[in-house]
Amino acid sequence: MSGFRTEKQLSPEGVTTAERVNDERRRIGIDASATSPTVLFLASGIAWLVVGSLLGVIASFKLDLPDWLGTYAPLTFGRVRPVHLNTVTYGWISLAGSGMIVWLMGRLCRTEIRWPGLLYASAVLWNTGLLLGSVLVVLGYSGGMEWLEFPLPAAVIIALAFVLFAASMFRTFAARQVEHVYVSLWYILASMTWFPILYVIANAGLYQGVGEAAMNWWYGHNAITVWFTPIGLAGAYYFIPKVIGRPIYSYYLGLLGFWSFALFYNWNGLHHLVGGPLPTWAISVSIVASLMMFVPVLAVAVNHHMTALGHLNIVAYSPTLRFVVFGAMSYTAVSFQGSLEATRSVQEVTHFTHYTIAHAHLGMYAFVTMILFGAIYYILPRIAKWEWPYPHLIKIHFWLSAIGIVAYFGSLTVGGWLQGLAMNTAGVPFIETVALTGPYLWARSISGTLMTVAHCVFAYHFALVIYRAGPKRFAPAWFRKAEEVVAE
Amino acid sequence: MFLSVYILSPSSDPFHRHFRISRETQTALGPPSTRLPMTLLPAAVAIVIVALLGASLALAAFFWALRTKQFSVKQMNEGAYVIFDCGDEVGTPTDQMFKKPHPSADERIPD
Repeated sequence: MSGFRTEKQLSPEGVTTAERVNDERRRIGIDASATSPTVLFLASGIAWLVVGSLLGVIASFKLDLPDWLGTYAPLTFGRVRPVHLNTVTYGWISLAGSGMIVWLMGRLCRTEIRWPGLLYASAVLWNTGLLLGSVLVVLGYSGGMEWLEFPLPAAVIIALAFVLFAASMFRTFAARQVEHVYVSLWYILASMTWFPILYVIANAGLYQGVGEAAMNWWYGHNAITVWFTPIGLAGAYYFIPKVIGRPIYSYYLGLLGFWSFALFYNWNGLHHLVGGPLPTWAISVSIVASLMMFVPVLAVAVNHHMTALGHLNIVAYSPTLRFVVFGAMSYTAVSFQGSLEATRSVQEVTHFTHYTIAHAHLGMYAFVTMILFGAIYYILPRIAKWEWPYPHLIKIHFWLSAIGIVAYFGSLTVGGWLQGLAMNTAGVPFIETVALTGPYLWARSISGTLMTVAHCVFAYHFALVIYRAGPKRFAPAWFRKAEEVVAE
Repeated sequence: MFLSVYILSPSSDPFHRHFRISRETQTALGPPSTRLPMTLLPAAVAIVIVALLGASLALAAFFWALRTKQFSVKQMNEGAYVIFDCGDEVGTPTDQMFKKPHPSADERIPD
């Protein structure tokens, strides 16, 4: 196993030409081994992103226009909304995240991807499970629990797909040529271990009554803990220092953040049931653990922000860095908000309101999704050997996504808070609490539409790179350039 | 682990312990002493086993990291550099696919 490249070795004087050529050849081989599975995961993830976004927009407009598409059962809110949730989480984030993980594993382990056949089988099974689950939910066979709507056959297929994926990743890790386990790898390996256990336990059907509600939110929150958040953090820990060209600000803090994350985060789920028929101690433990999350979040926040500080001028140029820094800042925001939201005093107002939906989108979109966008902008040209042809499409994608999620979060946060205050006022009829959210729900629908347009632009641009269409570029697709280099 | 602690706790069925329910409902549900183990025990046993397995895996990973000196001063000081490739210049952005771009491309970033 190779050692490290220190700052001295990274300087041009510290490396011979032969070493550099060998390193580049090896890197090209590693990327080549990851190309097909990565593209398969990314392409199917982006397809689910477009489908899930359209379903989200339909669900959102149905809150503004309740009679719209209301006579056709498969398109009623109770079916469309769960399919939106499942397609964007298990479809877009999981599949695109898997694509990013495959590429990162090769790069961080400095070895070719092992057992690629399992990755192809995993991608096929995963998409089959998603399709089957979505169709069954639309037809009315929902599991009925949030995050666990997919019926058992679909869940079994997805679980099997994940096990195959994890097997290939662990085999690649076992064959690594680097002694040190980089902090991104810790997050990835932990998620490979935790998520299959979590998913199988949650779908095992062993629970009923209050125990089932406890399991539901233990799972719902831990799916974010052990799968979606590690994807985002692994990406941020790699791409911020990599693009800037400087190592992470404090590597000690990085590992402290990971182990404190592992210790505290999995106890958080029951704060979703504040006020519910559960023992007070159980919810109190969850609230305390939620507040303890300040430790890992501060560690991550200090690391990411201090690494980027002083290099923010690159954000104006680099699409990857702009998306990833946006995601990293959102992680800090959503985590602090989540810790405060777990307390009983805040829950008194925000429970059962749109405020929670705003918080969820801040995490799943502004944090994880934006980092995935940034990661794809970095990875795809390297594996497709084709630069992004139109930088202005990247700019449109970024601004529609950023404005969309900020407007979405802002409108539902304010609307949700007002809704909570109104619901806590005894003299206010319930229908008035519904009516006052009207303008905020329209804002949600419009901002959701902006994000959906952004996703369609992104999907189109992605397809151009895959098919090597558009002008061939010989320079990076940065936001600002003195002149474009275009070859016929 | 948390879920198993909760399910095994004696107060984990608070609805039946703390709330009055009608005689008809009680008859339909059966006596609590027979109902509780039937509904919760299989879940509790399964979850305790998996929780112990998960905790063991986490501990094993931690001790493996100690044994392989992942947290040694040398690795902690130099581990952050493993993301860089041979010949990457520290301080130079790597967000470009081509090492030697076309001569007419202005890709320099101002300091």
